[in-house]
Amino acid sequence: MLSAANLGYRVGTRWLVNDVSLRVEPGEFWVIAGANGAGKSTLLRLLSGELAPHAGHVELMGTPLHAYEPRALARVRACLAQDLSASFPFTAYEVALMGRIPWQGQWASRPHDRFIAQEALAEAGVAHLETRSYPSLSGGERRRVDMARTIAQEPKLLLLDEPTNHLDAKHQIELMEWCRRHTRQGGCAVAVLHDLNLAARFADRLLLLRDGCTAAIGTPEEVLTPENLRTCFNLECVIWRHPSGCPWVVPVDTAQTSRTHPPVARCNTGLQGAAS
Amino acid sequence: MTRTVPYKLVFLILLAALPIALCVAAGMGAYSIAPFRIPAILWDRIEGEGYRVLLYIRLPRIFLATLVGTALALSGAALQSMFRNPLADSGLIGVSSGAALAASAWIALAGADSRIGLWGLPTAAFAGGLATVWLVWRMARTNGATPTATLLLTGIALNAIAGAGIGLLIYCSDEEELRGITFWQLGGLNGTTWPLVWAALIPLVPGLVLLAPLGRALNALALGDREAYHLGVHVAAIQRRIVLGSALAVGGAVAAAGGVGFVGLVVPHMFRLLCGADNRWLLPSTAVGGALLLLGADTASRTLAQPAELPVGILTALAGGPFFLWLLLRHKREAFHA
Repeated sequence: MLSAANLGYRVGTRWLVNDVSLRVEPGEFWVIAGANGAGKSTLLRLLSGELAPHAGHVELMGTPLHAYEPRALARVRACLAQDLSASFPFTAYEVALMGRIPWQGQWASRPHDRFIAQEALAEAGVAHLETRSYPSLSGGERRRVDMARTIAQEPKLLLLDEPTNHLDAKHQIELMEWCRRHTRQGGCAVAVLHDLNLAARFADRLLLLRDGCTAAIGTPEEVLTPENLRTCFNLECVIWRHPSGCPWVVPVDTAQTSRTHPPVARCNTGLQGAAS
Repeated sequence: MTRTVPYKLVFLILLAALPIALCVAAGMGAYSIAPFRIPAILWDRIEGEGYRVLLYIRLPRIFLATLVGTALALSGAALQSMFRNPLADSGLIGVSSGAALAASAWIALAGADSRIGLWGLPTAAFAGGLATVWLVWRMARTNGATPTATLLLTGIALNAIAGAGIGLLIYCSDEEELRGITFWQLGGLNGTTWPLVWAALIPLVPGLVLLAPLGRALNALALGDREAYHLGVHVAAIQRRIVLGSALAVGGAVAAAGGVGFVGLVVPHMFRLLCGADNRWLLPSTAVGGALLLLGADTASRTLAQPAELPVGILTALAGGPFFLWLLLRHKREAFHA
């Protein structure tokens, strides 16, 4: 559905994203991970069409991204960006209804659109906040209202930039489950995540970025190895098993200090699923 | 929630109040006419003093007040959403300060009362306003896009420069010019004639037409430029349209009425505090609300101190300010209890 080939984006002479290729098939949930400043958000913005790449190209459903009208593009892909705030007293319902903008005419909202916005609020678990003023909500509540707006947009491709920010543990899982549901219904999703364990549990494919380049790409099982985590995050980790069977990353120490001490990982080799 | 009044209700009340206000305003003045007789006088063209006073003195002025109020309020609402700043108004893109600088220069160099001044002053003000907006826009452009924050800062910088220019002109001008500059800045609609109204319509109408249908796009822009793009809004095109529309509308308004402040800032706010922020209702409602505020202020300005006239800018601030404060305090109390 979404394919990017040899993507590059630079500011001045510095390449923020360099020669990254990926191919997202319908039904797949991709997670982009990497250290701060590795180019994750920039890559996501390239995939959303917001930035034009300096090298390579992005295709969505067979059409180059730059050939889309903004409105036509908004009917296919939706973005959940980091930390939104509105300086004006929109209600949560009004914000959710904005998700229908790409589908609507200029003035009146059709009953159908209003219904979808209500449903989206319910699905995001914030129906009770409907009449509350959006700026007065807490960070986590706002996030879920934004999620409702994204649901209301009815996209095929979902792009999420650190979507679990501000969310409590339960709502993080709920959001990830929603992404997975979305992909199981034939859509696809690409999320930037810092939480490697959430990524390991929910992602079908994981792209690990390092200084704008692809450090590793594949299933979480393939990508989340102590070697990869050491090169990308400068962090010594052991890989355990989550009860569900997926990899479970346990950071132990930063790589610098562990050079002088024997890595703790080796002491734990008796434990189930510990690093090889 | 106790905060909100339904959008539709407030809009309809405003809309219903407009013709009543027009009639009342047309009836008030040195030659008093009963408001309910005015439609009949105009419709039947009952020749006489009343008809002549209405047609040649009151109506052009009332008509212009309504238009100027609409233009100021509508562009204020649009610019606030675009800048995502509730304190934004037409001053921020430089149109008001540019117009003020050009008008001051005209008064200082040509004199407000010279024969050419009758048309020269509004023309100079309009050209000054538009030129400043163009300058702000050009300077804020980076790599083919116009980041809203850069636009805001450029506007503020040019405002300061224009302010310095006006200060310099004030410093250099004699008593009479000083008086002219000061009164121009306070605004006023005295001596409005039909030709002036028609001339003002030339920029005002396209400006209003550009701004009025932007409700939904402005809603999206209020979330952020990026979010608006994600929702399918052609951000650059909408931005251009808002700046051009505001420049035309406010340029026309300021040229015709001088520096009437406060309307663009406060009318959209009043509506937001009463009802909410949905721009699909906000734009038409502030358009009517701005017309009502300026109509009321202008009527007061020509009747309160008869036969003298108070500058209308003083009255818009005096009428709107306390009401705005009241709304704000009420809102604060409720937000605190919520």
